[in-house]
Amino acid sequence: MKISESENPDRLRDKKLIAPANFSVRDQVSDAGSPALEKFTALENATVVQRSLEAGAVLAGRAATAEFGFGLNGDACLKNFTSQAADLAFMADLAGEPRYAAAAGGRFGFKPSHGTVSRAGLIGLMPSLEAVGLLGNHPADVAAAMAEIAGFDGKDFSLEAEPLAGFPVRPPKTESKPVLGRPAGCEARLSPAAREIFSAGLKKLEGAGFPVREVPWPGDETFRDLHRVIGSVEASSSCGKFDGVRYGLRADSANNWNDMYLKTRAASFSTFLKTLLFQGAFFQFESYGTFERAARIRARLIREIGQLFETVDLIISPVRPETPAAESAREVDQTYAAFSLTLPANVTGCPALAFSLSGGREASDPGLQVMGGFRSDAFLLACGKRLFETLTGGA
Amino acid sequence: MDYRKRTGCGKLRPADIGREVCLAGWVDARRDHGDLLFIHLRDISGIVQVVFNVQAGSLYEAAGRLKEEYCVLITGQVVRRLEGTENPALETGDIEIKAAGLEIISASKTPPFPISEKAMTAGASVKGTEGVEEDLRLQYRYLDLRRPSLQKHLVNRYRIIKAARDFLDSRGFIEVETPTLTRSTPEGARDYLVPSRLHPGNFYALPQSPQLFKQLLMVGGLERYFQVVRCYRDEDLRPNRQPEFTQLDLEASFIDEEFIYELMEEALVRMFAVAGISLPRPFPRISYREAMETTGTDRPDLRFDLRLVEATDLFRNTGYAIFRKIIGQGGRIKGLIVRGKSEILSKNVLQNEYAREIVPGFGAKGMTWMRVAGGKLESNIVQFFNPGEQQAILERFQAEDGSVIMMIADTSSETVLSALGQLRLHLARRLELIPGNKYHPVWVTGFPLFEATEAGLTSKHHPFTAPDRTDFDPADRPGLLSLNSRAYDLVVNGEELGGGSIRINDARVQRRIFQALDLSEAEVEEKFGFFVRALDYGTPPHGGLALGLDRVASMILGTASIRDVIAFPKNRSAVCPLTQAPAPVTPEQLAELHLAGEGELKISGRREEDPVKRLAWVSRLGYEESERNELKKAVEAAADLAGRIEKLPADAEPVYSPSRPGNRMRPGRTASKYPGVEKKDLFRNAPAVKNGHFKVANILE
Repeated sequence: MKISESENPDRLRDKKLIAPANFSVRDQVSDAGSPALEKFTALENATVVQRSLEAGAVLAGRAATAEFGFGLNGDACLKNFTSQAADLAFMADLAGEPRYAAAAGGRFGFKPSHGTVSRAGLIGLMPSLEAVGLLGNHPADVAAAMAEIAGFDGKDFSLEAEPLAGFPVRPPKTESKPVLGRPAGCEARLSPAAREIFSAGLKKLEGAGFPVREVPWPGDETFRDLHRVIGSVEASSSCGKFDGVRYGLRADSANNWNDMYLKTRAASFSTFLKTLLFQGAFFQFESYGTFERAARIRARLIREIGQLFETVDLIISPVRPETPAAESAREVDQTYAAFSLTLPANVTGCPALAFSLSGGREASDPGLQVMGGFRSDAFLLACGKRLFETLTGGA
Repeated sequence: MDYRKRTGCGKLRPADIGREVCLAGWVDARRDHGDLLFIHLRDISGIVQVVFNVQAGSLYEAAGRLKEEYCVLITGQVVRRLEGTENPALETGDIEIKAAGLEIISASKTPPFPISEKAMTAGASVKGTEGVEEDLRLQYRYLDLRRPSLQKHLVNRYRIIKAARDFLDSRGFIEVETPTLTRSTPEGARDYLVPSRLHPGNFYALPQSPQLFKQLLMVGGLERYFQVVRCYRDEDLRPNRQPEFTQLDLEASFIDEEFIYELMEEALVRMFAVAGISLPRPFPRISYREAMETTGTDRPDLRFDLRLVEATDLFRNTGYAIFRKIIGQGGRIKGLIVRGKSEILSKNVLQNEYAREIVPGFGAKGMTWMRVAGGKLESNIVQFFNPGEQQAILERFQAEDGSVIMMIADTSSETVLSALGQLRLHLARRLELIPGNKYHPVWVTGFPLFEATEAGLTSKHHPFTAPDRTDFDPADRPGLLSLNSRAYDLVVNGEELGGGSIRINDARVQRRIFQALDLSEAEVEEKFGFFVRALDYGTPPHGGLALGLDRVASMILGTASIRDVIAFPKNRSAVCPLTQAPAPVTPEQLAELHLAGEGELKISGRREEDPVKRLAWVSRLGYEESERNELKKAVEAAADLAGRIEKLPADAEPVYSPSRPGNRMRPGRTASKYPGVEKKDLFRNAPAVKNGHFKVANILE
């Protein structure tokens, strides 16, 4: 039951697609970048892969991914996207990975609203925070792909029942420009050079008639802390299935069931991921109240961000703060620091897109992120195209 | 109504026709025919059918309100059932009660599982408790106990124990109770400990057996003691093991082995007779060594033949390299012969099942097999044996056409015996060599007194067992290992039902045994000083035995599990689902018992103090020592994070997903088999597969 079923079955004809190793591709190794799934061969295509192929896309290649797609350390999606001259790539968005990669690499990255695109076949880590993200050259490709992949899938029980409205994305009928909200202090984490590029971009938008207003913002630390509590608990829970029984790595010389678990799981995860899993275990077994409290605070933030969209149409911010690049993050703390500006969309489930302000030419380019209200994906992509064309000359 | 006039439901017979009776019990089942309403009324004596007629007006209406397991009082008249409606499944099946009065004593909620075991009409099926989770039955054991079959088991258990009590009484034994709060002594298994409130830091132990007390009773001159006694062992979980179990424990003075054999054979004959089983006497005896050499176990199942045959000497000069090498390393070769079953034991079964899978599972590295046809041996390795060796094999095993010879070779004699012993049982079960309803008791005697360990010696039974001679040198290890004990085990159908020994009654011999075990005087004093001192005061010769009553009752009554002969057993995880024992206690209780510090609880052995180790265990996530520091920092950071979250306002209802899932129930989908099942796709990524299942490590050690 795809959104575009009655529209045009050939919308992705000959589009070259990259499916990273955390997306299942039938009969191919899909290890999700994890020792736990070393040599794991997928039995079925992920729903999004299957739907893209049915719509005419061509699988141009796979790509290594960070462990279970969390962060960009070890991720080769952007690199393969460029070397294969691809049109589209799937990228799991746990903390903002495709948006960050797009802003750094001169591409267009998109994270859909939570619960709109099937995650069946995505080897994920944080179910309530992650979404199937997309990387493309142009907003139109991403919008076309969204029209194919979004919608009901009986294999994913976390999808919303109602189909996502507004697809296929068409140009707005009015010429009126959307009102852009700029979170107070959102440039605080930028270097002077990055701040200059970002301000120039805003000026350009205002010059083109897009109204920009400052909006109150809960603070990046709150989003980071919530993501970390909820994400670590969900990761600990998700990784429970990697026990070496039915698939994946099995450690040698286990004396008994418990021993098999301990040894297998010791060898299944990197130290990087284990630090997150131990934190998740801490909240699950020793401080469950913290997890529940985080879920309450998350509800408040979802409500408050929702109220912001009653006063502005979109929220804009930079993508990449002044921290060591996400690709080089060796510790979970560093990963969270690199994604501090993209986490709000994961915590609130809102859609967000991102692109480079300099076409990937300036190393200090912080990129532009545009977040829309929950399930306003089609509107966001339509506006995103106008912003993208205004700022990049329409490439 | 007057309960004194009550009659047992199951006692009524055609001779009672015409009698006015008063019955009380539970509604076992009901059946409504419109104008007639039938119920089965059940009490401990059995079941009888009661009929309510629509013409009885309000009585019939009241009966209409009855549900299963209501506790009721019924009056009525015994009448003969209409011809053709008799129920042969009931002992009362020729009659029924025409109801005249009904009183609902106590209503019942719908039980969580069916209790009725008797169909209301001849030939109809009964749902029964098959398929009901055992833990659910144990959680509602008081309902489970209403099942006639379980009641029968408990009644018969009582009769079995009573038979033993009566018999021992007739032989001059008296029942004496020994303490259950006692001192921890080394008995082989772990003790259940009871903390002492009055003596901080000190513990009682629940007895693993009353061993020392019963010997002290002999020192005390009681001469003939027995006790039906509860014992406790904190051992690892096994399917048919209970943390507390009941023993028939006995001890007598001025006796020898023959006294015990005669006494216990007679006792056991009487106990088995409760279920109509006749045990043949006298029980045969077999030495430990013969049992091991011919059956591979000291618990031989002698209901079928299949004996192990020595073959090492046949291959001293063989050209078969594997055998030659094993013999060269001091190993041995033994085998067994199965006659007339070569059709079932095909080459494929022997090679692919037994040699590759089954026998390696018994601990042996491999198995050699040969089939006999046309007076010759056939197998993939026969070519390695010269004609003389082949002939010797045929003669040694007395092989004939249609026989199959299976041999195991190993450098360890224990491995050869143990693997062949297990193979013997496996073959017997598979080839249906074990006759049903046959009971084969046997005394196993002549056990070695000591076993060698890496550190030295250990007692095969316990250190109070008398040796077969007392002229040993406690420093002569080979000499000690050649000593036999005066112990005996009683084995029936391959199951050890009991065991005992003649004890040491000479304090000097006892001290030399302790020396042989390398126990210092201080250690002896610490562990059993109170007992050894008693031996200095004119101890009579004595001996005894303990019988595992749960096991004995289970065997006599033919139950699948010993839990079926125990009223309130623990489950396989040593938990009581009814009371949820073991359960946490309050910090106040712990403090009172000096098991908690001030502030944070410190329960030795229950809560791992190191947070990284603790979390690694609860989430079954191991780590390398090199990762430890980072994990420790991460857990500390999580605690800081919890502190920050605590400071943020949190007034809303919690949200666990930003979207609202609409298809949790997957509308329009019906259950179906995953197509990959047929293609064995599910095993494509499996780390280990065996016989069409995912193979995993043992759940229990």
